[in-house]
Amino acid sequence: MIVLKTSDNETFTVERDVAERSVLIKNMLDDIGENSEQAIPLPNVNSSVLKKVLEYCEHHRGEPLPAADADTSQDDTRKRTTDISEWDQKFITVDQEMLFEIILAANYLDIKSLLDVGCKTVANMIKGKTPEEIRKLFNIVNDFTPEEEAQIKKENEWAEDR
Amino acid sequence: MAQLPDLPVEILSCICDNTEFASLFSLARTCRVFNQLAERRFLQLTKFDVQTRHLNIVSEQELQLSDSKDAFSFNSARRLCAFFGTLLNIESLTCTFPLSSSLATIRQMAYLVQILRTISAQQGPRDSCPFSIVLEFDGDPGPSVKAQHESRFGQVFRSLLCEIRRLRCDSLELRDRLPAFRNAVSLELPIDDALERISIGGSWLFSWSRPWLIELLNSSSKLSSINAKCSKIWTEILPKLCLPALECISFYWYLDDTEASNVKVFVDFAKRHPCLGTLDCGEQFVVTWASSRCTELLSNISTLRGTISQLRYFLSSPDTSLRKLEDIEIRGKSAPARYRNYHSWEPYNKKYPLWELFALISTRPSIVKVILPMDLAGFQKQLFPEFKQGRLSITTRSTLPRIRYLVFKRSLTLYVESIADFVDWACQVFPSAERLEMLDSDRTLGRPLVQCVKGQWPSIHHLVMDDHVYAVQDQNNDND
Repeated sequence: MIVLKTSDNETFTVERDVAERSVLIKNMLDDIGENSEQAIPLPNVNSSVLKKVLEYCEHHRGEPLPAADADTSQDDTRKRTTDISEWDQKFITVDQEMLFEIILAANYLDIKSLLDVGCKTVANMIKGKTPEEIRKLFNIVNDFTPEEEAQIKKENEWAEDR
Repeated sequence: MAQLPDLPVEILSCICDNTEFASLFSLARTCRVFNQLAERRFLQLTKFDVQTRHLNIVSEQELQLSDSKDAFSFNSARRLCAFFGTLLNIESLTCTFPLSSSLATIRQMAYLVQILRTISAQQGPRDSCPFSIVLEFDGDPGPSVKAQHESRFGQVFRSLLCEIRRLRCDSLELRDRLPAFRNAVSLELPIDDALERISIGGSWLFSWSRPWLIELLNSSSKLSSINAKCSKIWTEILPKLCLPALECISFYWYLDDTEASNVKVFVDFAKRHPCLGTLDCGEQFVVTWASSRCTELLSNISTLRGTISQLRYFLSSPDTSLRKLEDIEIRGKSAPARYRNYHSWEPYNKKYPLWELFALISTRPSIVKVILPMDLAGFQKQLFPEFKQGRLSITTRSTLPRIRYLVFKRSLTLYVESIADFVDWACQVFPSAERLEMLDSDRTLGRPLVQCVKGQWPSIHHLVMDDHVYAVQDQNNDND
């Protein structure tokens, strides 16, 4: 069993193969050796987020980890699928704050499949929305200058069907 | 509280990578960071090279048939405008408007306005960078603009021209069929000092677009070259033009549905345009009995291109005229048969109008270069044999000893069995020519021609067969 310590000083005892869904934790375990009873500190993850992350890892335990060079071996020009499995979809149905915390934790812990689920979820939220709707949904500040704004304006007066 | 804008760039990039193609453009318009990231993803997916210098915009249908990597549909090209760095290196643009309703054409022109505006914005001031644009309006005879759309058509067309000017476009080609409209309002274009060259297709001469064309030309203060489809309509347009920087005007082919016009219009035009150095008369402009001799002084013309009768007309001007004339190009006949009766101001059955032209050239000491089409009527089948048989003799009037540079176009039509006759004739007519250039030639004729020239024509130093140069007087030396 492995002990993980969160930023708010909570500890989680988990099975090694669950914890090792995280490449970061796996590498740390490799570094400190098999028999260490020392808790592994995770200063960038709080307990509520780690709980969710471990739920994901528990569900996906035993699945093959993506290859380290998966990014480069994949044809980047290919359109990626935004499909998410039913369980993952249910798992990631959380409020925006938790969603982004999970994404940040997945990135920090190096859990590529979870990061993908998070990013795909955000991408699905963007789908079919106007720029203004996207800004409103995610609190994005429009930082374009008036000139830039004019340049990227989608339509102009003559292009509209009348 | 974690928010999307707070996420590290690598995560935002990952979100872009998972965003469907169509949504990338909305995302790009939200903020600068997403603009950059969405652009990167867009470039990956489309394989568009931001270093590309040419943008080719075509219809969706044509895009499917095209194997050109730089071809974009109007919609895709417009999408490039969503990103800030995609059009930074564009230096030329070709846009083909498909045959469609006037409303669709208006929309496509509006997209093009947006694209040009984006290029201007991305590239900033472009004082000395050349930019060329080709606008092609497909369709025959082209759609008519519906009455209720005329005002919008006029507005968007004006905006298009204004954007072309804002880009400081120096070369503009207007091809084919501009949609027809009834009420061409004034464009009121500001003076442009960037446009230097313009090429004008047939439909731009029709009544509905003619006022715009005249306005476009007259407001281009640095316009130095016009290349236009030949039409009798130019007899109405040329008197209305005032182009102080014009150096060259040339006409190609002809509009099939028009009649021959009087070549005299060029004389009046040349008189009003003192910078005009190159005059290439269209075939459709013919010499009539009423204007059989040019009586005006044309002081700055250095290059003259036309049919034999046109050239004879100009060279009949007073000796004090055409003092700077250096190059003469004789145009072969390609006009329909119905024009041919107008081609000479003397009876057309006069046997050797070319001889008469040479006699006039011989009176002009400034002319040093002559360009002839090898397929000139009767040139090989009649002239060479008659000369060989002694039925036609060289006189001092038909010898041109001042010509140093001789060019034959469409030389493919020279038969191998005619080489000896050709050289025999040419070396006597052009005894001082130093360079003989055979364009559109059959390279296999190179060796026999060199041998023949070497033996009979000592003044020739270089024989050029298209891109191959033979140093005739050096032993066996060829240079590519």
